[in-house]
Amino acid sequence: MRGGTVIAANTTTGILALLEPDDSVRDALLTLLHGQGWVVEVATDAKELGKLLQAWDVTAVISEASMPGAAASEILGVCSARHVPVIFTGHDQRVQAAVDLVRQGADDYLDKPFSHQRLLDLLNRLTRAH
Amino acid sequence: MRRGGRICIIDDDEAIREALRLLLSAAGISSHLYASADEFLARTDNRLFDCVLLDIRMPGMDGLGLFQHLLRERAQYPVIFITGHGDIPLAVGAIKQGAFDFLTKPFREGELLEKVNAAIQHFRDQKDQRELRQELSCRMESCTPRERDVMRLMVAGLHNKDIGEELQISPRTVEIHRAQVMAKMQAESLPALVRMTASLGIFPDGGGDQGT
Repeated sequence: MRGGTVIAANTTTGILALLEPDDSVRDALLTLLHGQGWVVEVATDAKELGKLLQAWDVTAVISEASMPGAAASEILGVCSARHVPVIFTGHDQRVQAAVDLVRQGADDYLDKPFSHQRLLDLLNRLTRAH
Repeated sequence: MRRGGRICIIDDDEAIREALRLLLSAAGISSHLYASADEFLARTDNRLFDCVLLDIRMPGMDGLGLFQHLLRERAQYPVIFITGHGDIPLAVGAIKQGAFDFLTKPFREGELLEKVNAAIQHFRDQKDQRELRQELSCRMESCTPRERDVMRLMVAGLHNKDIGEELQISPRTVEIHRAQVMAKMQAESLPALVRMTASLGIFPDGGGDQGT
């Protein structure tokens, strides 16, 4: 039994884990997601993410594909092992990286800058499936 | 790995079509060329391809349109899209719908061959599996209902005596049915039989006691 029940389910949309190295992008995402009732836990590498997923009933992970401290494949591995969907974000316009991650099981890949609505739509879909 | 394969190239750029054909033929892979999705649909009725290389941006019906058309037709072959730089939302969407891979222009020869070979191999593995399942269901069909009852209980791991009690037949009769099951299914051992029924997706609950 994981710890997500500490927070009453009716007051929050759910719990997300976020990995984003850029302070301003992270702050903007936190503001957006908090505004939608999400509780957001921040991690900086795969190990931290693993601990988070173990401790909380996380609905989805949102992760920058090129985190300085963790390869995207490593993050994907942690998420797959816990059956938590992961949405990658990226800014280097590399089609191959996006395609490979989605083929390997990532739920989606959003090319930065992406529309906030697009992210929220994705999260809504994942919430229904959760 | 088996060599060769039949590849279909659909690209409105003649130079790209020719370059792809040359690269593939040097590797022993023959290809059929089409300048548009419409030409492909008009000219191919027997679409037995190991892999389709499909340009995503073309005049007329574009690559994605053709891909969706093929999906509706339940085409089985893997599709590799050819795309320019930065079509990420398009690429991700197509992969999520089941496209096999993407090739981003400009690409290296090695990259092309690697992906095409992976696609051919994937297609053949899938085809082998489909054929194996078909063959196994034929063998299954050749068993009588009673033999299938016995098979279900064998797969569940019951001994002849227990199978006999379950089906209210003598252990001797069970033995005869059992031999028939093994012969008809061409199973050399019980584990082999279990694998066969698993790959057919039958008796997933391991038998149980319905059927008495």
